[in-house]
Order: sequence, then structure tokens, then C-alpha cells
Amino acid sequence: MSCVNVKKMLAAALLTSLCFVLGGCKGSMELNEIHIVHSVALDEGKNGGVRVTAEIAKLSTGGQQPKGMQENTFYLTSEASSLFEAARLMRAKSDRTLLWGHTTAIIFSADLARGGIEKQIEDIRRLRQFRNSTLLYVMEGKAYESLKVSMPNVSISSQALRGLSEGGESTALTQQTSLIEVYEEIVNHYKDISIPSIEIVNDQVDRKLHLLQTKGLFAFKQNRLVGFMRSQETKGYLRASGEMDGSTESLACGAQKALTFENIKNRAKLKPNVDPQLHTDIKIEIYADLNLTSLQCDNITISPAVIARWEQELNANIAKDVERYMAFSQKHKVDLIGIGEMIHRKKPAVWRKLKGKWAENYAEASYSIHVYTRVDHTNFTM
Amino acid sequence: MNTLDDHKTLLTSNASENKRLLLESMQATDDLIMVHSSIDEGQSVTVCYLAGMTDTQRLDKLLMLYKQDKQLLPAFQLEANVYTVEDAADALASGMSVLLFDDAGSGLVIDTIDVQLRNVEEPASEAIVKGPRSGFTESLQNNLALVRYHFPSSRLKAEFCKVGHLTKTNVTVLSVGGLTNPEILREVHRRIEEIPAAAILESNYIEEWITDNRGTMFPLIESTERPDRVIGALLDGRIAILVQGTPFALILPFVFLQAFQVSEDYAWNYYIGSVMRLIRLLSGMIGMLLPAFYVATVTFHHELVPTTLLQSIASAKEPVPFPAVVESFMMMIAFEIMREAGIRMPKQVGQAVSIVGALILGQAAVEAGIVSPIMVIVAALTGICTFTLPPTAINYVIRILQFGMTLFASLLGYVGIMVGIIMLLTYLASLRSFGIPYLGPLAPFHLDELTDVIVRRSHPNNNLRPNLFRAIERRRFRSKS
Repeated sequence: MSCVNVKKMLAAALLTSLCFVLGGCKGSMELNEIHIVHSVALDEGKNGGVRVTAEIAKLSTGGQQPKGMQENTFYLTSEASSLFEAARLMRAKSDRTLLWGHTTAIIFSADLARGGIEKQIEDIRRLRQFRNSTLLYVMEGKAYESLKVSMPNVSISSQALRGLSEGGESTALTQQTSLIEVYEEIVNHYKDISIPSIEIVNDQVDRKLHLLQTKGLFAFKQNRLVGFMRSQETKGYLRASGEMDGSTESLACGAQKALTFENIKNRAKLKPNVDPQLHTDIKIEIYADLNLTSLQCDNITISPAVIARWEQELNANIAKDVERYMAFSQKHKVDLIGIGEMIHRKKPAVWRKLKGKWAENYAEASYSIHVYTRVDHTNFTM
Repeated sequence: MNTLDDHKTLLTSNASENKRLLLESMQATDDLIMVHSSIDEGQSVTVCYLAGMTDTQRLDKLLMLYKQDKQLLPAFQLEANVYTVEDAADALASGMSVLLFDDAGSGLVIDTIDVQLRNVEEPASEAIVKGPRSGFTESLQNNLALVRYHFPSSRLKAEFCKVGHLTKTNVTVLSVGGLTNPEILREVHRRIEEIPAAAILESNYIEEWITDNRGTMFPLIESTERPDRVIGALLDGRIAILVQGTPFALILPFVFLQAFQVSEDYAWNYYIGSVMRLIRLLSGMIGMLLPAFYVATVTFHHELVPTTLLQSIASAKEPVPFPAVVESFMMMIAFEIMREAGIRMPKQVGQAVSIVGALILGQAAVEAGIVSPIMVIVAALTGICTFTLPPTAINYVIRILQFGMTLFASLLGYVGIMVGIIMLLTYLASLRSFGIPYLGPLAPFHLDELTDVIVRRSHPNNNLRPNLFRAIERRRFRSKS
């Protein structure tokens, strides 16, 4: 090998070694030097601080087969003036470095959220390790209590929390909300935030058994919690925002008997209009496709006329849900759908006049709801 | 004693003197038989041959025939008459019989070689499912015949030469007239002629002398024991070198991506051939990078693993006292030892080695908490992936590179792997095989040629030979007008 080649190779080796030295080889962490944090609960601390509770999985060493997400958990709590500080202080109670990157869910206590969540979201973003897809929840009462509820077949709460939020796709009683979605809205101000609610309920059969339940959404005015949308308002909101995937609708047909429909498709068209007096009128059009899935009524013959009647009744029911949502949002002056942004994009000149008083303007806006349902299939019911 | 300029001694007309000189030249070896025989009135001959290498019955028969018809024997001679003691000795050493005519000062070389060699068998190292199954043997004549049998063309050209001043190994350079680039062929001959080695015992001896870069561990010349692979290469405008005494032929020039090709690709439908080729490429990458990715992921990039999987990996790794990189190195070294043992062990105990290896190193090591189960999976998958590659030297290189990549990964995570890959690609791009870029047709990039390298084209669509090897005739066939 020639002298020049040797020099080149030595130079390459030197450069590579420098890379390693300057890059810092100490960024590595062995898996048995870390604790994996699965869920985080944030509660109000003393003197305006924040109390952080982390749910950490225990790792069982016995046996050859790893248990995956069926391990037991333990909790660490620390309190400080900021979330960042509390997270760092928690290390003092932990024998290993905490890995926050696998946090599946963050639960805010409603009391903390009423004071505003912007600081906490900002701190979480600055911690960098958290994934954008981390789910957010709000809970009335102490948030850390939700982590200690043992769900059937799931020993790590984060698994339950992820599964529960996914259920919203078929029930329309909640909506999966991620960290990045909330952060975007806090930064962009396109619309107000809604975060799903989590609550602890007793099992209907075994009253001693506590379960987690996600039903309804908490509405935020900018970053402060201002109200809670119950099931009907939540459904109305999801329909009007066009974010509904599946749900059920029922029509009564006699004493304690009902027709049940499965919503298979939902599309919403919103047309906000601002007149010269800066009065806003919102036209909400809902297009929903449903299938008949349960028929408890006696002596019913399905015909086009009957289906048309059902469609009219469904139109009225859905309109009622949307109306309840609109009433809620106007009462709390929260624009969760982003109607203001629609006006902004369509008529920027008008928006400039409206921007400063949009909350009041929205609260006084008139609206009309037009629902067009279509019963697609009756599933061969005669 | 008459000597020539190149220090050779001329045969004399004295039979006894010739015998003495020949015996001296052959180091008075005990297996040299020299029999004095009179074959005609007034003419006697000394029949010289090496015991054990000569078909004596044939020799007797030839001598009898010669007695009857003097014109017959020259028909059996392999080479021209020999006039020097050294040439006669070389002929004897290579298994010929030499007839030293008294009073003539010359000898006649007869091909009476009789050495028991292996029959044509399926190549053990390049097994296939579909396609020709014959493989080269240790006999150069047989190997050449195999090539000629599968490629019966008048354009196939074989050029003989001898290499190694002690072994005088017969070497045959194969090319296709009007197809192979003459410049590359000339360069091959030049490099072979300049080999100063004493002995050529295997084709790698030649490879190491004629390669473009003697400092690299990457093979710049392909090696195969399949005649169909040699013929495929010749038809691409490449050159093959057959070496006496080894079933491995050399093919050159050779580019990196050809290490992932097998001749069987062309025996299957081109979709199947293409998919298998892609799988081999993927396997090559997995084989080189999987341990590195594992180490980088579990030491630097925990966030990239799905939570459930990380939880499982962490549980499994909890009792293991070693860092992931040490664990990884232990398993990789253990696997290499097992593989080497599997090759060297007699077939009867080979199975025992694999069972013991699998049980001891797999289950027992996991139960003892020395390695984690996931590491066993990584090592096993890595090993299996390297088995998919044809057994060229690249297979070994990839296994060696595993260690380097894993080391880089343990130092800088994925960034380290990227550093390793960039360094590797830069190095590969700097290599040449008889002037041909080693990374071609990837760098320099030629999309049309890549379609028969990364995947494979159907035979009707494979009209153009790769430009990479600078074949004179680019078209394989004339399309129907």
C-alpha cells in the first residue's frame, strides 16, 4: 500500500474518531438503565405549581417469555413550579433515567386545565422526548387517580387510555386528541381546543370494580378549560365538524322499543356568511348515511315511504344534536369547529374587522341546520 | 555438458549420461522409473515416467504399436520433442512419459497421465433448484470440456499458459472472439505473465496476483465452480480463467452487485428471478446491518420502537449484565464459530454441532441471562440472511462488516451506521476491477443496465449486453423485422 493511501486512511480514521469524540458517545443508554414512562398525570400543585405523576412499568426478570404490556406498574410523583422542573426532580426518586418518549397519554386535572394548559404543553414540547402522537385527556378531580385504576385485561393504564380513545371512532362519544393537535391550535389559534374527558366509574355488575370511561369532551377557550360537552353535544360537534366516523342513532317505535341505525358515513358542509353589519350567519349542512341494524318494532313493513319517514325523524334527531352543540359553543363562546378561520380564509378583509370581537360575534351568530340522511341498507329486513 | 543461454542442459546422445542428468534434475526421486528398451534394430530408447501417475498399460501398448509402425507414436505426443533435460523433467513432473532416444539427443513426450480425480458432481457450494447441475472438477481438461460442451461455439477461445516456476500450473484463459474486449484480454494476459509466484495451487493464488487492489478484502474477481455461470459471464463479454487442480474458475471483471446474482435467476420466470434477486439484496443488507440496527435502537433510539415491543425487549434484557454491543459481539462471534465448526466438522457430527450450538448458545445462554432472547433472534436472522447470498468472498466480507457497523452503531447510533454506510460506499466507489467501476452500474449510474442487475429482464427484453464490461458486440440477438 502506498504511503499516500496510508496517509489517507489515517486521516479518515482520525476524522471518524473525532466525529465520535465530538458527537459524544455518552448519549447511549442501555435498556436496563432506564425506566419507561407510560402515562403521566398532571395535577395542581401548591403555590401555583404542578404535580407530576408518572406511571412506570415494572420489568419482570423471571421466566423466558417477556410479558410486554402485561407488566405491573409503579408510580413516581414530584412537584415543582414547572413541569420541566418536576420531571427533572423525579429523577431524584428514580433509580434509573426516565424515558418519557413512550408516554402514551397525558392526563390533565380539570382544575389545572381551568388555569390554562399552555405552560404545560410548552414544557412538554421542550422536554423533546414526548411523541407528537401522545394522547391528551382531562379529568375532573385528581388526575393521578385515573392511573391507579386497574382495567380488566390491561395492567398498564396507557394501554387502556389508547384503547378507550380509539372507541370514539365507533361511538362518537369522544375524540382522539394528540399532543401535536393541541399544540398546533395553541400556536395557530385556528380554532378552540377540545380534549376528551376521562372519568372513573363503577362497573355496572361488580360495583366494587372501578373502570375508566371516556365520554364527552372538555372545551377550551384558547388554553383554558371552560366547559364540558356531554354525549349529545359531543355527537353534534363531531357531526358538524365532519369528524365523525361511526355512531348509532335510535328512533322510538312504541313502548320501550326502538329502531337502531349505524352511522356509516358523515359529511358536513359549513357556510358562514357575514353581512355588512358584521352579523354572522352559519349554514350547517349535514349529510349522513345510515344502515338499519336493529328492528324491535312489531308489524312493520319496510317500504320507501317508511324509510322516508325514518329519514325525516333521523334528520330531526341529528339536527337536535347539532343544535345542542351550537348552543353550548355559543354559550361558552368557543369556536371548536374553526368557523372564524373559514371566514378568515374566505374573506380576509371582513375578518380583519371581525377578528378582535369574534368571540362575541360568534356567540350572537344565527345558524341554520339542514340534515340530509339516507338510509342505505335495511339489511334485507322485510 | 552443453548448456543453453537460459541455463538449460541439452540432452546428449549418450543414454547413460541422459539418465544421469535427468535423475539429477529430478532430485533422484525414487518414483522416477527409467527403463532401457530396444525398439528396433540398432535403435534403443529410455522410457522415463513417474510411477503412480502413469498408465503403464497404455504406455506398453503405445510402445508395441510404435515397434510396428514408426509413424504412429508421434501422433500421440502432446508437445513437440524435448531437447533439454529441464524440459524433459518438467514433462515428467506433469505426469507425461518421456522417451529419450539414444544417439538422437532428443526425447518424445507422450500423454500417458493417469491420475484418479473426482467425477463431475453438483457443486456443493453453489447448489440450485433449477438449472444445469454439473460443476467443475480438479481436472483442467475436463473443466474446459464442460465449458465447450455447454457452449459449443467456434468463437470460444481458450489460451493456455503455465504459471508458477515451481508448480508450472496449467492455466486457461477463456474468451469469446469478437465479443470480449481485447484490451481487457491483453491486460489479463499481461498480468498473468507477470506473476512471479513459485506455486499456483488454487485459483485464488492467481486472483491475488492479478487483482487491481491487493489491499482490499472485497473480491474484485469472481470465483465459481459452475460452468453455466462461466458461460453466462463469457457471453456478457467477460473473461474466465480456469486453473489446473481446482474446481474454482475465476471470472473478471467483477462488480459488487453481481455478488447477489445466481445463474438460477435465469432458469426461472423473470418475475421469480427478480424477486429472488431483490430478496438476496435485502438479505445482504439485513446481514450486514441488523445487529447494528439492534444495538443502535436499544442504546440510542428507544423512542423509535413501538412501546409494546420496547417493553418486551426491556423485560428480556433486564437480567442481561452486558451492554447491547457486547451481547451482540458475543452472539456474532459464537455464530461465526458455529458456522466455521459446521464447515470443518465431519458430516456425521455436523448435525450435532448445530444442535449443540442451537441449544447451548440459544436457550441455555438466554436462561443463564448471558444474552437476551431478542439478541438470539437478531443473530439467527442475520446468519440466515447471509446464507442466501452466493458463496463469493462478499459473503465473508458482509459478515466481517457486521462487526464494524455494530461498533459504529454502538458509538453513535443510527448516525454511526450512516457514517459506516457512507464510508463503505465511498470506498466501494473507489474500487476498480480491470478498470471497471466496482459499484457499476449504480455508480456511475445507468438505469437501463440496473434493470438486469438489481432485478432481471426477461430473455426477449435482454437484447443489450451490459456496457459495463465493454463488450465489442452489444446486441445479443437481432430482433425480427
